[in-house]
Amino acid sequence: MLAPYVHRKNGVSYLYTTYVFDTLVSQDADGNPAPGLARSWQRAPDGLSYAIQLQSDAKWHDGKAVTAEDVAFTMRYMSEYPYVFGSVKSIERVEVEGPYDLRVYVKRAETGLVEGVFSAIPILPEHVYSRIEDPFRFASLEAAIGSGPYRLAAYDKAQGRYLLEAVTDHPLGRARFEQIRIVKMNPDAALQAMSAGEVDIISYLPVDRVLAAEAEGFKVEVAPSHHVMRLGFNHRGRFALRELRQAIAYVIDRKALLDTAFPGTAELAQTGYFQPGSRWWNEDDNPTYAHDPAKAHKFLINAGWAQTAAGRWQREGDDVSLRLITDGRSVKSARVITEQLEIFGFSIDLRVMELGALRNLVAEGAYDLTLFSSSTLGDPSNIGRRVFGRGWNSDRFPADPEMTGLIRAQTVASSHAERVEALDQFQRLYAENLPSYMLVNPLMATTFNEKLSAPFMPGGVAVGIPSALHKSIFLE
Amino acid sequence: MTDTSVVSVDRELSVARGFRSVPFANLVRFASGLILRLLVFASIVAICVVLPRLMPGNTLEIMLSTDLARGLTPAEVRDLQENMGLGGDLFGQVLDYTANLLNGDLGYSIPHAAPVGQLLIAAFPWTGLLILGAAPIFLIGGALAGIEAGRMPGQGVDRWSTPLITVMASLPPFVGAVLLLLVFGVLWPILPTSGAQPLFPATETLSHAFDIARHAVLPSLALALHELARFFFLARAETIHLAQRDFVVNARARGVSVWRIRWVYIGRSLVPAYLARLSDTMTGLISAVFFVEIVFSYPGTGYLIYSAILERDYDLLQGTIVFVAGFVLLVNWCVDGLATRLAERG
Repeated sequence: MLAPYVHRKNGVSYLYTTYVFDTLVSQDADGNPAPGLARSWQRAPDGLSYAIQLQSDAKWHDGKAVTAEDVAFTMRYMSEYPYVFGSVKSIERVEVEGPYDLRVYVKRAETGLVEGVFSAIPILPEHVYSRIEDPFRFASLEAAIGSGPYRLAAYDKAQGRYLLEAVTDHPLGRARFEQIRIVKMNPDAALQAMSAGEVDIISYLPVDRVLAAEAEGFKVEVAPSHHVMRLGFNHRGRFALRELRQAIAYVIDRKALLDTAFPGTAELAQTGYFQPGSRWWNEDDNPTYAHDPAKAHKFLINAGWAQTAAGRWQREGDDVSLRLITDGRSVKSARVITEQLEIFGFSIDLRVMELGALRNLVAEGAYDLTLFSSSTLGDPSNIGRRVFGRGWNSDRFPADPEMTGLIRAQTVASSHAERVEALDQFQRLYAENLPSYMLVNPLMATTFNEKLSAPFMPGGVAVGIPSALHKSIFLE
Repeated sequence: MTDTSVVSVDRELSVARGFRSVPFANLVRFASGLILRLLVFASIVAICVVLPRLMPGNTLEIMLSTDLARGLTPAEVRDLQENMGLGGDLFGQVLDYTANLLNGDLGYSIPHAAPVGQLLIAAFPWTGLLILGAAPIFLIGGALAGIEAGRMPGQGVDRWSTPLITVMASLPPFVGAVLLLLVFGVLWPILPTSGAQPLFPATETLSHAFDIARHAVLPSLALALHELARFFFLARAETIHLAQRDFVVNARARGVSVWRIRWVYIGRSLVPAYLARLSDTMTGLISAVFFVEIVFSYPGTGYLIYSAILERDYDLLQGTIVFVAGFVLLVNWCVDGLATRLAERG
């Protein structure tokens, strides 16, 4: 169901919901902020409020006008019923200054608000949602009355199919297609259907099918997902010491991992958090930790570890056994890494488990190493959570005054340049401290026919979804 | 497992014969069969309400596992849990669920944003279609091949059909499904391999029905292949046994035609044994359909259970299992009753 509170909690469902619901700020082809429901916005010099002018011709799908009251209502409603993909907790209050004019007051001056909350929160129609006390169970077609360029006409729960119909006179442009049908299919069936002319675009084509799609004469866009596979460390256990994390980084041969587990489907990741293609990436010489067992050996010996004649690593006379945990999606990589660590002399207890159990084990700290994938996209205001957060797919790095300071500094920076400078330093520290060791950046592909063009949105769509399917490709 | 059920049926038959003249005894047996099944049903409900909640993680945690979701504060998570009916302790949740179930409310699926009953109504007919599509194949096909093989054991049809079907029987249902997918989806792509309907369903009823039937062919076949073996061996064994019974030997001596002996004498006598086996088959079919639906992305109850497990969708998982278990026990009770009654007639 494509309505804010009842869409599935994954990036793709959020993305499709943005076709039906607009946000205040949208994105241009380069991923920069562009008018959405808001025609324009100005940040007050003190950074504590934003004056917003709405598009005066925006309409809800039932014909009523979108007004400043709707925006104010959405902020209030979302503070009462938290929305999973965007938070309004940085907003102090909203003052309605006219039918299409409003002023949003924020609790503290932050730079990422336009790319963050203004771009993430779908604006809700007050006349529909004000009487809904349980939005998590509000799933009739009425729940999908948005102001987006397409309206939800029908959906089939059992088969995961959606039928969207173009609305006339959307302020952001004319719809290029009368209808969009979204269908969940397996990749081979989708390619077959595309050859038969039934499908025009395949959003997530597995990279190993790219050649097949090209052979059929379809256009293909391939881009790094920025959904980097990382080796996480238990910072509250054996790997509290930075030198030990660096030793492990030198033991792992990322090139061999790439060739074995990701032949042609990923690229080597940068170690300093951001990846090439991100507007925040800095090319400076961050450590790359090229495979160097001798260096790793030295680090471990310095840390008081010892190696037996048979090559087994010991600490205080006991063999070192490391527990590596991951879920089913990373089995192949986990095996390669296990083998590399074992050849180096560690005994590895590899546990592949399902998500619920994995989350529990991470929360309990019952692991040494963990293999997980996590996005580096989205506005950098989310970095704090991804590095210091306690989630199973966060680095769970203990508070580090210098890094925390830089994250804060970039959040409240008054200019883009100031933000870039703070993030440059952050990247250097990330690569040195290794909250996680960035391994590979898997590629993703999208294929489409001559009816449209779908390049990947730099920096990801909206909240950082690595995709080519921003709604603007369906507008003229 | 299969042998045990045959033995128990035989015992039931002998008990039945002892009370043949007392209709009241029959009623008692039907009633006790029902009570027994109600007890089984109650235990299934109890197990499937408690067990999923003992698994690590809950619906909300799994939903929020995407790294795009913002970090919710503990208070927000608590609010969400309350809003989604996931609040309270295990005991409270189980109590709530049971109370709702007694009121006929199967619960609400959060990830699907729909009542479980509604999802089941949408999914169950697809499963039913696969089972109904498979039934004639394994029942009639099994009987035809089994009778032929059993008439001359070790010779003719038996020589090639028994080894072939033995191999087929050794394939788990999902392997059969994957093989069919490979042959008819990749090597010789003449039949649809995923979903229950084409991408753009036809508006005309007849073509729509035809499309649905085409989509059901491969999954039904995958389901039937496995069950075919069971009924083949049953028909074969019964035929070998029946061929030596006096009434068949007599008929043969009287010059009754071979076809008549096949269908009227042997075929008809197979029915009680077939029915007895059918009640046991229902459970096997339901578990086989689970794999088959996953392989063919077929939107039935099996697929629903699969998604419910992945998403820790307790209500959907329980609702579907309770519903399927109830259905299987009911069919099982009816078929058992019918088989006993038919067997009484000799």
